[in-house]
Amino acid sequence: MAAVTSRNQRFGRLVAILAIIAVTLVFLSPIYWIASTAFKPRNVATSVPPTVLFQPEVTPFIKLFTKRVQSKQPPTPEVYAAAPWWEKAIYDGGERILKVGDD
Amino acid sequence: MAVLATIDSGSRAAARGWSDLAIRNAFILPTIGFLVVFNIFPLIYSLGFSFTEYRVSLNKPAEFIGIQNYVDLLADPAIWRSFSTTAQYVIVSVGGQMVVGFGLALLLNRPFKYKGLFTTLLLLPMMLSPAVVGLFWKLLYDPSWGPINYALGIGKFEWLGNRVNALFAVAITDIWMWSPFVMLLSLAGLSAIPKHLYEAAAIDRASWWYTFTRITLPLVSPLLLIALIFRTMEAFKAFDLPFIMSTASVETIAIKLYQMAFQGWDTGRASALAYIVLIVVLCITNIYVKYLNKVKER
Repeated sequence: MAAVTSRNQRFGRLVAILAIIAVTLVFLSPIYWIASTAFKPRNVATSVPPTVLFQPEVTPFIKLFTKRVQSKQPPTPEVYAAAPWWEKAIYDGGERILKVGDD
Repeated sequence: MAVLATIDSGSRAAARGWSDLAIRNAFILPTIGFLVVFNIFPLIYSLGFSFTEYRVSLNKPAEFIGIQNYVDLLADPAIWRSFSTTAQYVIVSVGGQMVVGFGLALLLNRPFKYKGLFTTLLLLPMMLSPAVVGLFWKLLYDPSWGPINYALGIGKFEWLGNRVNALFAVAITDIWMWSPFVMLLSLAGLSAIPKHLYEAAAIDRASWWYTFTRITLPLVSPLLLIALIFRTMEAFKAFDLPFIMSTASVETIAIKLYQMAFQGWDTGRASALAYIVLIVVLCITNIYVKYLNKVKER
């Protein structure tokens, strides 16, 4: 407003901006959690205490688009080597893909 | 100038064989058609059902029973309990939204770097789908591994366990999701206040509180009231968040309505309840609008 600001006003401004930053962080934290959970394996997503920093992976997205089943024995090395990267990720988790697609 | 423009556009449209009126109608008619088919027809159709004993699931014609549905509903203590839950929910969540939203707007209403960035970031919750928000807040509230319990260090607190806790838990989610809306409207109101009023107040050495109650609040109150109207209407009809987070504990009137219509298949009574809700919302909104007009006259 006024061109000349008193020390009090500048202090108030600083407090207001710090408050905005704090509130923004609080408001965004659930969104960070939503977005980060998408890249977490299941055991990390439900860990106690909640994991903030982790190794992100895209396996949940692969699982979203495939039908899988627990496999009794690991795939033979040839099959594993021939599989595309996303199928390898599923093999690593002890499962095998039955079908690609949702239905 | 405006007259000239209309004559000009009229003559050009006329050259294509369309009169002004025909063009106007061509633009309005599709909207009216949609409104009639999707809004007005169901409105009247359900009003008819509300006076009948009718179940869509049974292959039996509707039987006219007068106002019996309304009488039954208003005598039902479960309905009144539901209305009271809804009222508590509206007070807690809309009250919280107004306080948080207006507070944020007051904080943001000053020039600083990245103001636009912070405003946009704060608006993010509003842009998420209510289904996603409900599901994830349910996980956030999880008693055994939820991050909220961990962050607050309150052990295995059951947020969605009983009626009271669940009401506040859902209201907090609603506040988180919708206070940005109040913030946006208040920010628009705050930035429309002429700066010279504050300069005059500063010359008179008015205190911050005096400036706030005598300049800021009266000038921003019309927009605050509009935000209040919208949020009250929405909160009164709250369905998505309570339904996803805790159907059993926070039984708002909309959930009751859903259960009656699509689980009990009691179409006639559900229509009657829907009309009762409509009348209540209309009354509340009318009170607000009356008050809004009074505020605007000042």
